[in-house]
Amino acid sequence: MSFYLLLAVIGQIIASFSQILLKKSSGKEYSSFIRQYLNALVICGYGMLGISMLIAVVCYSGLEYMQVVIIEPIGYVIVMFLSRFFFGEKITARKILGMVILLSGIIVFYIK
Amino acid sequence: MKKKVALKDILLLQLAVGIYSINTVVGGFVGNSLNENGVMSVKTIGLLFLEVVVLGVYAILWQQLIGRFQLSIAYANKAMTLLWSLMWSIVLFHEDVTLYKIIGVIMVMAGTIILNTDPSAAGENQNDAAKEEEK
Repeated sequence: MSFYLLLAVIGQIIASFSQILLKKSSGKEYSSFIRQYLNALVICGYGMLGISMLIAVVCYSGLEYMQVVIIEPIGYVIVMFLSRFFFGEKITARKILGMVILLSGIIVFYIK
Repeated sequence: MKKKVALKDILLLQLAVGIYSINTVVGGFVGNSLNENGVMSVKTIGLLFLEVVVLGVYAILWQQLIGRFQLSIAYANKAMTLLWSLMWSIVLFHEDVTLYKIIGVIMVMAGTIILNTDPSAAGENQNDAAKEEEK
């Protein structure tokens, strides 16, 4: 089971990077509606999201449905650290508190 | 500077969240089919295709919405996915729901909202400021 858990976390790391790319893209001005979707950031972003989707499918085959879904919010924690790095967003005490509650919640969920 | 969030936008956000939870359900079915039928089965590939379609609909909606909201508001709404999923896990996957699981889900939702709604962080404004600096 721990193999699938580790895989689910890796999937979330990939998905988090994709969110950063998409956010970078959404902050830009594009010349047309189509350009909003057909640009390198969006295509890479959704490509990575696709890879994380395939990883999730493998996880679903080895874990219960809810055991995979509950791992996904780890992405918020990863995005928090990536946002600090890429956008200079501060990691505040409140964010750390949220992270601790979130991660504790996952552990509580896995107790059974 | 705070933008007013229209009710229509919040509903659209919840629609996107609902679609996203359906995407995880289809993913769950793909996983089950992977176990029962293997990769090269019509059912597995068909469901995977369906998952991509659902993800595509979600993606277009989400891409439109995240430009309109602070990422924090978008993610706080996305925390609702877990409640949808908890319901699907009972109704569609017949998984056991224990008190630990319910408390865990509530904690994860609370943690997600606390993490993503920091008033002092105001991510968007900082981003704008950072962009101005880059220029």
